[in-house]
Amino acid sequence: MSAVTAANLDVHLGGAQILHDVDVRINVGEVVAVMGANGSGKSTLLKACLGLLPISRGQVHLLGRPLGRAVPWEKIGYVPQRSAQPSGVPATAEEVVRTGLLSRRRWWAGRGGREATASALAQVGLSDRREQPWHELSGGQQQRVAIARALVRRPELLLLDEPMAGVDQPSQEVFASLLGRLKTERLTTVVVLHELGVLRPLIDRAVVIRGGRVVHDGALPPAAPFHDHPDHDHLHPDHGDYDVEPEPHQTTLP
Amino acid sequence: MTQAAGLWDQFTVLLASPMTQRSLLAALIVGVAAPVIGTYLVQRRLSLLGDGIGHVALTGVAMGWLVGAATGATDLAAYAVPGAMVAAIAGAVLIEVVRARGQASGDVALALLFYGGIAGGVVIIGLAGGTNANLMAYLFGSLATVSSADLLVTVVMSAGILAVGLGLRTALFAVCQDEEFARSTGLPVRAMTILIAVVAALTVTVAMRVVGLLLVSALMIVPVAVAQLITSSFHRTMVLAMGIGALVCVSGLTITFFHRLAPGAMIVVVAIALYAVVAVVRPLVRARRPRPGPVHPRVADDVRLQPVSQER
Ligand SMILES: Nc1ncnc2c1ncn2[C@@H]1O[C@H](COP(=O)(O)OP(=O)(O)O)[C@@H](O)[C@H]1O
Ligand SMILES: [Mg+2]
Repeated sequence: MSAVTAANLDVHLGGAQILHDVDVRINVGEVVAVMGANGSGKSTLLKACLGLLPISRGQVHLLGRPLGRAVPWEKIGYVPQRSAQPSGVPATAEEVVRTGLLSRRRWWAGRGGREATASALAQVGLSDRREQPWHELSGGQQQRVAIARALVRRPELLLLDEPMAGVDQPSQEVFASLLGRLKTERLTTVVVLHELGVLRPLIDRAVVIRGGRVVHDGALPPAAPFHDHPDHDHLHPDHGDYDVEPEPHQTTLP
Repeated sequence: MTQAAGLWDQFTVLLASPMTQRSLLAALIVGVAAPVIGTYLVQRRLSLLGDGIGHVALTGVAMGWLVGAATGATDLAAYAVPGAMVAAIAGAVLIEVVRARGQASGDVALALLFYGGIAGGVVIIGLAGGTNANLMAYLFGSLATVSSADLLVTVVMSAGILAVGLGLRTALFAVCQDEEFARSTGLPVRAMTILIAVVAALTVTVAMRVVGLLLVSALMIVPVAVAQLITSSFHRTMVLAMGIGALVCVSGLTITFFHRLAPGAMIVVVAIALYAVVAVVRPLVRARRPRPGPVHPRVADDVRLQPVSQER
């Protein structure tokens, strides 16, 4: 069964076409990286798949159900791309994570909510930050709170939008080992990345987007020659070039 | 000493009067209820929504007056509160729909409501044969004349506000904290934002009695602003704001028993004075109280420093 299927997807935003005829299929248990330059449409693809943006053409199926009420939303965890938005009222890390327990029918955290949030925070190594206001955490810690908020749902499908952006190396390693563990439990993961980095061994497949089109679907891009250089990105944000010319668009899946 | 004793006697005499009891009770109840919805509005960065709704409610008051005149009611003001409620709910839902559709910026939509609400109110009250003086009680509150029926309405509406605001707090918090994530969980986010708007409209209508439409938003927002100076969690902010709301309403009203001042304005002045005091005192208190736990997590460093060259 496929966890995510997007077929002939077109998305328009503000009068401009952002996604062009995107076809993506992600099987249960797969870990897939979505890569591409800034502005290529990666976040738009994730949001369109989650029904957060209107789709102008095409279909999306999540966990075998067409987008809408039929989708078992409680089995889906989403980590949005981080945007530093100071909230109006302080909220603790625990309060933020607890919102991850809610779903269409579940409007209360309910019994066991406390244990669930505590264990999700422990999974991302933030047990000691439970009571700390979210806005006082570092960028990497905030990102880990967002991951805990998605994990507290015990999802079968996890969609992460640049979870590694601005996250320090130790946090990245915590996250990589967590993802490795979840992979053995057959969690399907779609992760938007600029650079494979520490996640490389876990990733089964890369989908590369350029200018709103899928230009590659298959093998991982090889590590670039100057991989060690801290400023180096595999995909240059300015012109969206691929370090090594991608293989031709692969339509059949391995 | 004797003066203080005199004041106390005066106060006990006042307290014995059912009129005073009713107004104190109304102030207390509204003081507790208003900050609940205010907490969500501050969280959504919609602090001015209450003002927008308050202005629209003025048109509703005038329309109620017009209906009263048209139906030949003996008490022209009988329809004022229902009118305010209907207009407030309609205005709140309208703001929410416009904001969600992104047709005009929320900012401009609010501005239009501000102007339209006041101007509409003044024009319509004129059509109804009333004067601007008739609007004054609604603009600045009328705590002195709370009837038993008024008090009952206040209790019922406040109970509804508390039931929604406290009962659904996790879900409403989720929607206000990160709307996009909340939508991805499957929560009915549109319905919940509209629910918040409707409850805000109810809050405006009950608080109209206490502080008046022009200051209604202050009662929803200022206690939250004070509370969030002190607390670090959403839940505690809400609970503390409710306490602060009750405190400022009762103390502001009590002051006006001794000095002939407008209760609504006095309540808001007390609230803002409290904000100022807390804002000044807080840094002094905070500095002495270190946060529990290590500031820096004990993790490996990810910066490899080059050994500094010894030569030159
Ligand atoms: N709400 C919007 N209205 C108009 N254009 C948008 C909107 N959101 C994103 N875009 C545009 O869509 C393109 C893709 O954006 P995005 O999916 O966020 O890129 P990525 O995540 O790959 O960096 C960008 O050119 C961006 O400017
Ligand atoms: Mg993005």
